[in-house]
Formats: sequence, structure tokens, C-alpha cells
Amino acid sequence: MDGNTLTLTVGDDGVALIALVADHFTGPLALALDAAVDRVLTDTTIVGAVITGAAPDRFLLGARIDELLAGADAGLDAPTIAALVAPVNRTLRRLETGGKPVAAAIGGDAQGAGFELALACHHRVLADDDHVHVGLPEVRAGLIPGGGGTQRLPRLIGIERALPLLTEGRTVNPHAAFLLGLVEALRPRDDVVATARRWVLAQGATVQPWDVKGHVPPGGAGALAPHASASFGLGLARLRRDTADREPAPLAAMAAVYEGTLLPMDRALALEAKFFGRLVADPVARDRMRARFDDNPETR
Amino acid sequence: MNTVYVYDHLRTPRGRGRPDGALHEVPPVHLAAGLLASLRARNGFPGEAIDDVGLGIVMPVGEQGADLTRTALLAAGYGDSVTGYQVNRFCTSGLDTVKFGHALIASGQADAVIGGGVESMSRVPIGADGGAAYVDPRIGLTHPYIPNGVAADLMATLHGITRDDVDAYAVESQRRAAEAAADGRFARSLDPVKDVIGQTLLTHDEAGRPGTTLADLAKLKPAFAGLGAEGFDRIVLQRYPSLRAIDHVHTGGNSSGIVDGAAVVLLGNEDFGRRHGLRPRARVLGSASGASEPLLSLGGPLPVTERLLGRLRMSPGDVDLYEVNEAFAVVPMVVARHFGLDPERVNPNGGAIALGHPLGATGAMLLGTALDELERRGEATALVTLCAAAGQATALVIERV
Repeated sequence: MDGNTLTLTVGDDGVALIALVADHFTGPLALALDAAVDRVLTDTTIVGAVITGAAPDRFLLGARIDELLAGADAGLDAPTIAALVAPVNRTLRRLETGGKPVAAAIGGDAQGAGFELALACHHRVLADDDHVHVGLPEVRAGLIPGGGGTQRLPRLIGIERALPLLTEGRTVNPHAAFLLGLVEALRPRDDVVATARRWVLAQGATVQPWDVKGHVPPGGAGALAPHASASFGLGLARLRRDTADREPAPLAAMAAVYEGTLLPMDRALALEAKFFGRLVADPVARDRMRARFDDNPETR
Repeated sequence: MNTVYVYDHLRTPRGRGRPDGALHEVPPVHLAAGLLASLRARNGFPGEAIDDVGLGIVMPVGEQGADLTRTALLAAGYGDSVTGYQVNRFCTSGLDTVKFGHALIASGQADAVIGGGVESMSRVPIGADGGAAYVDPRIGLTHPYIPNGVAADLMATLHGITRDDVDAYAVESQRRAAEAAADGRFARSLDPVKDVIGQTLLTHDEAGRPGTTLADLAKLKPAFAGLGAEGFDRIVLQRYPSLRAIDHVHTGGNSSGIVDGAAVVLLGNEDFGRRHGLRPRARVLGSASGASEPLLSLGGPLPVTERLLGRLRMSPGDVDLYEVNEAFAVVPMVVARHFGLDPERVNPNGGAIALGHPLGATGAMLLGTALDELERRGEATALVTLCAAAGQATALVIERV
């Protein structure tokens, strides 16, 4: 945990405050996060954690496209790329299955892998500021979420609500995020950490809804879900129309949601990683990534 | 090969496939059981004389799942020994069970079988079975399932068949069905359906709209333009680049009706008839299944009919009567046009546009209707064919004996 990735401080109340210093979800941050999770779960004086940005108006953005492209251009194949994201998934699984409550206090943009980290928390408090946007914009960069986003979001808010966000890569402002169920609370920016901390202290031991036996995404999943024909049948026809069949990423996102939401979480995450790996290793998809990056290097 | 005879057939009347339909209160297992019991009662064979029974069920889930046929046979009093299966090849299923029965008897593996089908569309609606074809995104990208109405509109566009053409066909289907019903042509093969206290629920097909005019039909909105605009038009136009647009000619008025109903066909070898004192009514000359371009979805009857006639060394003109399922008006129109058939010899008693299309049962119903009509006319041969989704079709030829 060098000071360039994150800091961890434990308060007198036993709540660990993890402050994200990095702007983007980088390799070093992933390692630091794993160590922080380890500390939270093994230190018996720690009752839970709040994850927030090091500055009040920041949280965390996704991986850098140029870094991903460098890896893909090095000729990595789909299994190799899938294996590369596995450690991040393991870290996030430990975070959410460790039993100790973890809340995200989001004061600024939480996007891509940054929002995936928030989704792995048990509770999300978002600053009520219209300039803040949260969500999973990966498809706009020719990618799909690779850190559980295609699996946790539909399990949290239902496939019908999650699918348009995932396939269009739409990020939303705090009001929409709250209405859609992406976050559980809106607070003034200077109160998000305190609110998250109160939640952690009040919550006690916790599990994610999808780790409760028998959980199904709200509204159901799979071919027999009442919405299946609209979501995946008509939804795919619309997607093919709107993308003119030139965008592999939204289709991969839809397939990952359709197939993954029927699996136990660990297998679902592994499947998402396979779709992610297939996409990054696909020269066509990579050209889309490159084009999007050249258009707008700030797109993450 | 053993000669395979059709000894009898029976069907329920077709009830409107809605909560106000006469058969809506009847669970499909009872619809099938009642019909199987009536078939046995009127032909007097013992249950154990039947080797196998297949029913077409296109939505084989919920109360239509779990091999409904075996349960219906037990409920119908066929005894412990008779096996049953259910089959789903979309709309050909009912005819497919007859085809499979034909194969069993012809090859000497069975003496007598029953084919048929049941579908309570008011209780187990279309799409209730889910299915990779409809929803799996990876499949939908490479081998999309085109809603059949959009495929029917594609077929009409490809053949230059207009809204007026299909509406005129539908008016004639309604006219023929009403005339046939009034003339009592369906009566001998209709088994009225009773409720739990023995009261008759339905004695006649109730979905028809006798007296429908072209002006009535012209008022109806295209049923599948919306689905087409959502993206399916674009997908089929990619496959058929010579077309500039899909002409959405089909409506609720020139497409098959959603109904509840069941049908059964009794097949046996010569010995079966002799043992039980039954006179054969026809023999099965042959059958075939096949498929063609899946996005067009409904084009299967052309190659399958051609192949079956070729195998039987018959030309289209050798067949006296055709029953071509009116899934959508365009299908029998294209079949008639392709083979140069006299329209008077195609669906002479109307079809599914007027009478309804209880998916899994329709194939067996068409076979029965064809046989009754051959006898009424004193003619010899009939070909029955249905299209099934994703380009499939089955055809079967009978000859009176």
C-alpha cells in the first residue's frame, strides 16, 4: 500500500476508511486493494469498512484503455486475458463474502471498474450532485465490464433495468442512480462518508443478496423469465438494428447477462471474464477500442 | 414395408383461445383424455391393442409438460400398458406424430398407434416455453429466430402478394369454413367437449367469423409492422438484399386464429383392423420432413412437398386434395401458386384463418379434414402439409382404400 494507490486508516469506532488515491483502476491499485481487504477481514479490531475517494469530489474510474490495448496488442489470447482479471474478481469476492459490512461513500464519478468496486460493496451512498455520474460505460469503449459489472448490476436492480445501461454504456446522475437502485442513499457530499460509516456500524454482519441461497435477480433470469422475450429476443433485434451489427461489445454484454445470471456468482464472474477475454482478443473489437480511444482518450 | 392404414380420427371443436373461449376451463390433459376415450369407445378396440401414442404439444411446459400423453392415456382408461410421448416440432408436431406412427407400423415395430396433438393456447400461451431460439443472444446474432408474422410478410413481399390478395384469401377461408360447418361436413369427426358435471361446453368450432368481408378486413392494422421496425425487418433485409422493404400485409384477420383444441388419428396394420373388426378408411402412402432457409421460416412446404411427391412418383396434379396449413394466408397461396394447383382443391373447407390453429394439434386435424372430404367427394388422394418455424415442414400423403 504505497500512498499512490490507497490509504487505510482505522477509526476509534473500528471502521476502516479506505481512501482511493489513484484516479483509475490500475494493476498496483488492484494489489493494494487486495491487501486492504485482507487487513479488514483479518484484523479483529476492524468491524467493517468505508471505501471512498481520497478527495471529497472523487471516487474511482475504470481501467485505462491504452493499458488494456497494450496488453491486447501483445498478442494475449482470450484465456490469458480472462485469467488476468481473475485476481480482481477474487479480491471483490473476498470483500463481499467476508461477513464484515462494507459501504461505498461516493463523492465523485464512479465508472467502469470504479463502479464495479462500489457494486461489490454491501451499500452505496452517493453525493447528491448533478455533476457526478456513475455506471458502467465500458461498451462505449468497445469493451464489457470485466470486474463483475455484468453480473452484480442485474442481480442488484433486475435484468430489465440493468440491460439498457450495460448495452448502451449509459452512466447516470445521482437522482437516476437512486431511482434505478444503483445506490441506496443520496446525501450532500460532505455527509457521504459519515452516512456510510453509520450504516456500517448499524449493519453488523452481512452478505450480498446474491449470496443468499435461492436468490434470483429481481424480475427473474433466463429463458423463462417473464421479460425474457422482450429483454433478449426483441432487445437483441433492437440492438442489432441500432448498432448495425458493427459493435461486438453490446452483444457480448447481453450474452454475459443472459448466460451469467443463471449461474452461481463465482461461475458467473468466470464466464464474464471469458466474454471479456474473447472481446479483447478479437481484432475487430480491438479496432473499435482503438477508434474510441483515439476519438476520446478520456473515455475509460 | 407393411401397409399402414388410417382407421379413424377424431377432434375436439376449436374454442377461442381466450379467457372467454368455451374450452378455457378445460385443462389440456382432460381435453386429450376425453378425446382418446371417445376414439376407443367408437372403435371398440381394447386399450392394450395400442402400441404407442404420440401427441404434438408445442408448448410442453406447465400443465402441458411432463409427458402429458401418458397421463391422458391413463385417465382415458387405456390401462397400464400403453406408452405415450409428446413431441414439439412447432406447427408440424401433430402431423409428425402420425408420421412417426406410420414409420413404426410400416417397419413392423408396432401394430397400432395413435397420433395427434393437443394445445390449450388460452391456458399455456405461445412463448411459455422460453427457448434458446427466442432469447439466447449468441444464437440470435448468428441464427436469429424471426417472428413468424414478419416471416410471412417477407414471403408475401418476395412473391409480390399484396394486402388485397391475402385479405381476399382470408374472406374465402371464412366463407368455405362457414359453408362446410353449415353443411355438416365436420360433424362426424367432432367430439363435443364436456365439463366436469357432464354438460356440453362446445359442439362446434367457435373462432370463425362467418360473413367477413374484404371491407371488414381492410380496416385491420398490420399486425407485424411494429415487430419489424424493432429490428427484425432489418435482419431479414440483410438476407434478402434485393428487397427494399418488407410489405407488412398480414393482420389478425388473415392469420391463423389462436384456439384451444385436440385431435387424434388411429393408425394400424391390416391385422389390427381384422382383429378388432375395423374397416380401414385410407392408407398412408408416405411422409417427409425437411427444412429450408430459416429466416423465411415458413417456406418449408415447397421443398418437402416436392421431395415427397418425387419419392411417391406422383406429380402435383395426381393429388386430388391439398390441406396446406393457413398459418398465414400467404403460405397456402404460395404453395398453390408454386405447384400450379387449382385453388378449389386447396383447403376446400377453409382452414386455420377461420377455424383456428391449435399449434400441436393442427396437423392431425388437417389430416382428418382431408380424409373426410375425400370420402365426401369420392376422391382418392390427399396431401397434407404444414410449415413449422425456422424453415421446417412436414408433408404426408394418404389414399383412400
